Amino acid sequence: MGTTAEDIARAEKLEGIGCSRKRKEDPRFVQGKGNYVDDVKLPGTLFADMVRSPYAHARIISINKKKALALKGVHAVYSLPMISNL
Amino acid sequence: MIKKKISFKLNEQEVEVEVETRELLAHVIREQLGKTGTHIGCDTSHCGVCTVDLNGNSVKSCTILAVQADGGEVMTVEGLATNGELHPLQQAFIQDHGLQCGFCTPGMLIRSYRLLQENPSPTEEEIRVGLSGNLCRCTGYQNIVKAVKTAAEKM
Ligand code: FES
Ligand code: FES
Repeated sequence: MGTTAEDIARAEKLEGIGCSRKRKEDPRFVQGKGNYVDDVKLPGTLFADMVRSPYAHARIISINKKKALALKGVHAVYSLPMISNL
Repeated sequence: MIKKKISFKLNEQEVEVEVETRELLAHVIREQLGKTGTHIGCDTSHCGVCTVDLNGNSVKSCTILAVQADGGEVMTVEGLATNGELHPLQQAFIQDHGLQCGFCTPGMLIRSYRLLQENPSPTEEEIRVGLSGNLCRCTGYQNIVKAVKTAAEKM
């Protein structure tokens, strides 16, 4: 594919391979109207938070969820045994 | 939970909100004020997608508290176009294909806006340094730099 100004002008006229295309979505994206997943608001949406081990090198022997589950607004605490069949 | 009423100018409009004192500006802008053009990519001041203009400076809105904006002037990507007319930067990003998925674009635009206020005709090097706090996971840097250059020439 040529890259001189003439080549580009020719390609553009032909509107084929090698010519640049205006994208339909760009005007939305440059104005902040993208609507990405995080922008979508559905009623009753819950948020998930990952809890990682506070130790850099250790074995997980047990996970105590009691305190977390007692907190207001906490719906569930998942750990591996509960989802290992997925 | 300590709450505080704050008011500031958002894209030239006076807004008043009640926020928790620990709340970040990014969250208040997105959730309370419904301006979702400002994205959150990392929440740790690395990526720059949350960049907004606060009192004439580019700031990462995930890294400052909403209360710090009290009485100030904030501009987000939604404030770039005037009366439906796209800002030269917005036009240049479209023309020069300065975006792919568009997720980093609001931060890139708002940062470039301030960059061009500070330096109306930057060299390529200066654009790259000026945008070094903004990451593009689509890695379209070449055309982003090109678009900022184009916009600078048109402004
Ligand atoms: S979300 Fe603010 S820098 Fe990444
Ligand atoms: S365009 Fe996709 S992250 Fe920059």
